Amino acid sequence: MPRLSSRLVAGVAAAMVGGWLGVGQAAAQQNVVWWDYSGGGDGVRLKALLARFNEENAGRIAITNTTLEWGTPYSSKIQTSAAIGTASDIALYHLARSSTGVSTGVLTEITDTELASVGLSKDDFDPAQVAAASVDGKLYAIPFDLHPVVVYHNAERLCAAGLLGEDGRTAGMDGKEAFSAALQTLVDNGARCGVTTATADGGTLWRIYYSIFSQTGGSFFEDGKFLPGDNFQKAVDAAEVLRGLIDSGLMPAQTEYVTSIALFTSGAFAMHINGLWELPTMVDLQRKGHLFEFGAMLIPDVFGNGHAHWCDGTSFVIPANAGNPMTPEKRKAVLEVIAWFVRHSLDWADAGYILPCRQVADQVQHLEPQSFYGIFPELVAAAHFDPQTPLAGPAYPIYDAVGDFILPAVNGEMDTVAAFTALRDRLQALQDALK
Amino acid sequence: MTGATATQAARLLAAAARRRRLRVDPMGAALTALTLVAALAFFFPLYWALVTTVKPEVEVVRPGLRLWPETFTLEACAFVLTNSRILVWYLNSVVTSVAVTLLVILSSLLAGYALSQIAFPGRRLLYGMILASFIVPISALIVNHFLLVHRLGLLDSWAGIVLPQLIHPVVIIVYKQFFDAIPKEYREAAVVDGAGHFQLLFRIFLPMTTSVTAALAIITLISAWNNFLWPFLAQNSQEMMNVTVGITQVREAYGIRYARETASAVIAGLPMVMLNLVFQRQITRAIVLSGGIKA
Amino acid sequence: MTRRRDMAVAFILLLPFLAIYGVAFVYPTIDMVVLSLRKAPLIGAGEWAGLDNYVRLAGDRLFRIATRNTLWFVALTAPASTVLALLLAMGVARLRGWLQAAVLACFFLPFMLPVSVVYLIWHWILDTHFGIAQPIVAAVAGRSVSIFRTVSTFMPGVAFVTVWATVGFSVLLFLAGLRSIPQETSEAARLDGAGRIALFRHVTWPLIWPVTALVLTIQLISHLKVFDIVYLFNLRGRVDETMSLVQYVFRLAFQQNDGGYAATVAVAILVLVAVLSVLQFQLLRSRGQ
Repeated sequence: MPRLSSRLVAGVAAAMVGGWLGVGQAAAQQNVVWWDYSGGGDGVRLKALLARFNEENAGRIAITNTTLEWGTPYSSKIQTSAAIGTASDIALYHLARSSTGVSTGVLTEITDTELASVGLSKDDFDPAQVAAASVDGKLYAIPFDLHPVVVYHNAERLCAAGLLGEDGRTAGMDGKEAFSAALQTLVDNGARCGVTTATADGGTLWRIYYSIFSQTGGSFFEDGKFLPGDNFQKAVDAAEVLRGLIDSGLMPAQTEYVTSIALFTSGAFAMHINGLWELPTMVDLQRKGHLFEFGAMLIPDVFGNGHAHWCDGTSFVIPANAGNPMTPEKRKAVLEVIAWFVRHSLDWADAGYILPCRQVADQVQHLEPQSFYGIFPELVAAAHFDPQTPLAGPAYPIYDAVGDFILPAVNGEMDTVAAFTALRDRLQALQDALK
Repeated sequence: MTGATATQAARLLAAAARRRRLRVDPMGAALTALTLVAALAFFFPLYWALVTTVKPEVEVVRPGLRLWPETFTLEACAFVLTNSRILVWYLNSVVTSVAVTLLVILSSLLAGYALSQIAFPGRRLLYGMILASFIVPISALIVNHFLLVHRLGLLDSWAGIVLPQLIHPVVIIVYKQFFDAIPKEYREAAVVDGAGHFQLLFRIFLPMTTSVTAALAIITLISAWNNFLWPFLAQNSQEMMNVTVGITQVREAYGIRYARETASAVIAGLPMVMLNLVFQRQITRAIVLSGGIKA
Repeated sequence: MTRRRDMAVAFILLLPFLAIYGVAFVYPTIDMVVLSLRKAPLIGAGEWAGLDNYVRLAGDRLFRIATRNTLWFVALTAPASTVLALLLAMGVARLRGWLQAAVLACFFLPFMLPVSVVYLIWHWILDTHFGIAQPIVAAVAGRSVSIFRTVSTFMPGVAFVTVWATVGFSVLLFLAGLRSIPQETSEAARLDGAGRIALFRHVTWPLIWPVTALVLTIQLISHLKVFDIVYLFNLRGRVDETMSLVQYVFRLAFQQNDGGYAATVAVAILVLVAVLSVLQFQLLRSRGQ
């Protein structure tokens, strides 16, 4: 039969048929339906892990996976499917979106007892992760990784400019003036520009911008309001920092994502702000002999309030399928699957993500390159997640608004105050329309 | 003047003109030169995409102009083929665009015949409505096409991609005009022999349409293959994407990927380029036919 | 008897077409008008809103910008593309044999490429830092310009790429038109001592005018509906300032879940395209006669 029916429906149907057959044979095997959004290199690693799981648990638990979509609202698809009881048994979920998932009733709570039943506890994860995965003290998602924004640096150029200490850590970059001065020193020592980042890419610019904004101590969204009170001025201040770097020629304007990486890896630029997910790119180039000595560090503390940066994570959730409750046996199997993946997250973390579990993190101390894992605790401690509103997330209105307002403001094409006024009004109108 | 002498005269005139043109025609020469330069300029982007594809990523971003790769590699192509679902997207593109083509050709052939050869009440009205439908932009219907396909439960399926692409009024009109131009004698002779409409259409008219059908089919296939907007809206999962959508929506999560991106463009564009080289005559004919120019 | 049989046959033959048109064209068109009168999400009930959406349309700044951008895009592409196509077609017509085939292929191949391929190629060629065309941009503008992230250069850039990608189609139409000019006419004029310009004005142009009208009309209508090339180039950029009308519909319906108002904007596009195409058709016809 030609595959004319929806892949989604096919997946669900296959699971239903599978479940029915399971009942007919022996009650032993549990069929678990799994949805994810991982493509590219991530997808390959995830598929390998899934295959390993199915092999190790043959006859007991069988996972059927479907890679659902890319970019466009993945979580809204889970939401619609859960409402009619056809969502998967397990789904990969953006950690930053879990509170939205809870408010729309899509996710089920995972209790301490359930965690303990598969040998996990909240203490296995960092408090920042647990907080992001919880609503009102109840846990709704189990973290799988964290991926924050960091600064990559060209160690040779930093050394030459006297900005790299004996211990391999950067020195003298905290504070707005000190950071600019450090970048200027790098330029004086032959770098074409101090730092590159994707200033022409709304999605990435949001992550960079939100990192700086988090350092002001401000709150982007609070009690249903965007940028209330003095948060507005903090938002403007944060944008002015980036704009100042561009105006003074320390950071190139209007740079596409890929270009910003290529400029850094060419060696002509001293630093590069991007997600930790680009680590494999750097490691790979270095392995082939195309890259200088490089390192990773936290984004400098610009406002003197301490380090902070944008962060998101991958997590596991168990969708609440309306009218189609999960049997206790199935739920037990689902929890076992999650625990297995958490324990094998080192293979997943090969992608350059930070590891989710302290117990796993301890294992990697001996792994190369040590320096990245050396800053692991600090990276986790300074993590700031997207604002908790349904408008946040990739392909959601906040990201659109970044392209329309923050991008021109940072690149000097629009007055910063006017840009943030327009941004606040747009988002507030959309937020109010949600009710 | 007989036909033969007319041809002869024309040939003489043409030869004379050609000599004149060779002697003094600075404007003509300038036009030719401009056209040749333009042809090179038009071709260069395609060439550059090809050259970028066969370079290693590090060479692609190295400063300086290199019109020929220093290191020749198929790494980028191999990466795209093994790390994306481009082959699945190809399959989706082939299945949906072939289905669109078959359905459009078949339904238009039948309707074109009925409009041309059968006198039924409301014929003029129907034809007028088909002509009028030209002014309704299909892309304005995206919201309601989405709702339609959603209500039919066909989102993320081949059928859902095919259905809204079946609106091609121009194919009906070309068929109708083609049948209109067939001399009445054919039909009358067939009717005398006692043939019905179906026999007339399939036995006598259909063989005559072969070249028109080929031309229309190719151009329908091209437009379905190259369609972006609707497949972009109707497909969500990577498994169901068409190649035109897939190469822009799914990018490897990280890295420097100029060569990979041009490689995916080259791989996605190749079938249409091949099709053009093989069927250039039919494509030209189809464009001229649908433009309504009597060549 | 025969008449009734004829009618039955006609009905059977028309059935597939009528079914397709009913389901995929007539129904969505009516559905669009109905939806435009409702305040409703993309999928879901919503409520009757009368003409509220149309009132909102009248005062909508983004709708005005999208309309302005779309018309600007059409103004940048349609005339330039038509003139260029005529010139190139006249040039191609002077060539013979393999050279003609090769040159024609150079102009036509871009038209055969999917829009996403066109986008990837030009996105790379015009890349701000590594694009091979940036030295040319720098020579004109004095510095490298991020063409698709600068509002003032966005539409001209997209229009340029569009002309590159679509002019081959018009060249073919013009070429067919030029070939249909009887050789005798032009040669006779030439022997009469008519100069090239006179020949073009008095012989070629009157005969090629209908084709020009056709080419312009096709361009106008297809470019008013522009979506994909604009969408791809302003993705993750300044969408507000650079979007086209169809992109605004897309954004309202699929990104902001505002189905009713999206349908209203779609109705406006329909009216705009219909009015402009009828107007232009009349204009060209009256001048052509």
